[in-house]
Amino acid sequence: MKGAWRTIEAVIAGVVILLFAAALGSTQSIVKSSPPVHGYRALGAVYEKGMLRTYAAHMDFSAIDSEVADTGYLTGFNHTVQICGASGSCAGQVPSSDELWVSRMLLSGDETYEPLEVILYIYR
Amino acid sequence: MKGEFFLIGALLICLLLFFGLPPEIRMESTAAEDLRFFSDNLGHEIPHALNLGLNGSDPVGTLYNFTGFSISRATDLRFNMTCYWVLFMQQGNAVNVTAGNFMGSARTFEIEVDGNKKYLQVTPDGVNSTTFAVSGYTFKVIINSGGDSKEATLLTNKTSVYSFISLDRRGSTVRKEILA
Repeated sequence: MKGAWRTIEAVIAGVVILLFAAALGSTQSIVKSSPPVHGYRALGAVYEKGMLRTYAAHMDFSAIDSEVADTGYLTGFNHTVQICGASGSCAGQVPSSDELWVSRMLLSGDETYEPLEVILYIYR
Repeated sequence: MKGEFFLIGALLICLLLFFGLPPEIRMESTAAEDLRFFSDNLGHEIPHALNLGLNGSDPVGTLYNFTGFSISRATDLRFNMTCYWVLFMQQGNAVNVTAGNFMGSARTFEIEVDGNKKYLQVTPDGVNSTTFAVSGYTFKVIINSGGDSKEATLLTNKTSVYSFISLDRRGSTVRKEILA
């Protein structure tokens, strides 16, 4: 009888480990499918480099997109950049895709106050 | 009795596996990650907006405008952003203290500078200011508002800002304090 209980408990222990491993696997797949997080990191890297503010002030969305690509955070994804002012006018294109993610960063201006939003579109 | 060790062992293995993961993998799975990025972004940009405002001789107006811009962007992102800031600027032998309130309701700021206490009543989306006489290169300030308290020693000849930001979205909340 004792042997049977031990067997049952051992099976339950095995199931606990398997369920945990499955949960962990799904978490890792969330990480893999969270492009906005990588997008924020890419924008943050360009920001830290000091290039985001300068390019945004000149509405140079393609230069920012190129810098984002250089960070390597979005390898395997397509991406474009849009720069929008406080009035809502934007430079750059919004891609058309069924799988589209967005990361954003606000800027207060470069040499003078001019609030801008840099929007990074990530798509497949 | 020995069979229970299997269960305890299984739980220990799960814990070891979880805490053995790199911290960033555990962190990335949290739903509030974009709120954290947004608050970090503001943590850098609010002081920058203040500097640009000082260059343009309108620090209060610039900070007010940038706060409004940030709140409108947060609304687009479906965050609820509330915020207040208290600005300290030298004015001769005094320090001008200006509070901006974007908390959604009227707020009272109890400001204490080098032991002198004053109260600033600020309407929603409004600003109010007062002055304190100061002597010396630094002054000690205590800000009490809505149950929050902040104490700091600031340089008299440097414009400083203290800001409190709260970002909420469906149960996820990120709070940030900025002192610059």
